[in-house]
Amino acid sequence: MPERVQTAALAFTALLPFTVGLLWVAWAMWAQHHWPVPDNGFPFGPAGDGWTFAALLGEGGLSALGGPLLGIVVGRYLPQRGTAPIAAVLLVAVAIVFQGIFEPLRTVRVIMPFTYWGGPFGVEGDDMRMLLLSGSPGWWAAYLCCLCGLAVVAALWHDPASRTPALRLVGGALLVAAVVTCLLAMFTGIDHTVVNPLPSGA
Amino acid sequence: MIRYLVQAVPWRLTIAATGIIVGLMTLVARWPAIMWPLQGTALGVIAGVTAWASDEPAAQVVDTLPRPLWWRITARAAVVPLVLGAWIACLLAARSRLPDHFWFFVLQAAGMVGLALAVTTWRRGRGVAEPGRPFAAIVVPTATAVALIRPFTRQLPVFPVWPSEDWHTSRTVWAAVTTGSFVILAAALIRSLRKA
Repeated sequence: MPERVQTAALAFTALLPFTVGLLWVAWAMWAQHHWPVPDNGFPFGPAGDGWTFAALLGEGGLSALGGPLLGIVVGRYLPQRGTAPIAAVLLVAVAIVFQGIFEPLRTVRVIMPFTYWGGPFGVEGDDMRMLLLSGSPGWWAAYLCCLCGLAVVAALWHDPASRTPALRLVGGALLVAAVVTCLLAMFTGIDHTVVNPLPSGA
Repeated sequence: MIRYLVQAVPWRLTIAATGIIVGLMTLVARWPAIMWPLQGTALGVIAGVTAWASDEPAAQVVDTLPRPLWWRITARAAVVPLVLGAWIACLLAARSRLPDHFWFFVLQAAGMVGLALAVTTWRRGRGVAEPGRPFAAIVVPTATAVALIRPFTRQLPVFPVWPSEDWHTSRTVWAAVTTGSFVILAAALIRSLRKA
């Protein structure tokens, strides 16, 4: 069995966690309508249903797809024992740094495959105040789709027999699309951090 | 024993894991309120690398040799002083920036090491060649998830950080985990001694 066929088969198995992630997104959207967020909660203000859906899709569904695909890439290029748990730990550490808590990193945080779009990040005098972070979760979800595609291309690329002009073209197109969507996620949508006007304890 | 130790222990992985523990604790020390979940992750790495070092990839050959299991487990436990030493050095270096519970954090690491040794030694005694890899694959993400989600934090604070948290209960839980683990480890070692 050629390596590229095994890789493709492995990539298909990522559809299972992706489906679970999509079910979670559907449940979260339903739950948000069933148990409405209080006025001092999150999301609020300019974040409508579309904004919430895109943020949940990226943080839930697409993360559940991208994680396994990234695992396949790591497994293909770094098959040494111990690489997988080390990669997972490093990814968690980097994701925490880029989750949006550090103000100077808020604009560039969307480069990460997982980040937050708001929450109880706090302000001076109210350390649980809800904030809405800048950027466009819709373009971020599109960027994550490009990353997932790039992960499949990178995993297939490991097999020299699969390095066809078509795969090179698809990889190049996805790379360009990923850069464009990432920049759009950074610089469109909400252009600054929005603070919930109501205090957290209200 | 030293020759076996040098050749059998996965030193590259151990050194990489030790570096990761130091890196994670450096981030925790720099921004304790934000990065505290990485303290739990670092403890998971301690358990994971300890368990991984107990694996015997050539068990089918090695288990037939005169050297008993307890001898090999003892040799492979050479990773414990290294990772525990790195952990304690991090705690001491960042003492002023971490909650004032130094011995509690040492107990957490001892509990993780004890748990890893107990599980892997017990399973090695049952003929499983490489129990460390699956254990590491479970303990590292589980510790990370518990540290991030902090479930039942009022009833059972596993990785407490704030002064208002129930440190006493957590200390009791970790003491029970540590004691229980070393009892199981001792039982597994005695069993292997009897078999030898």
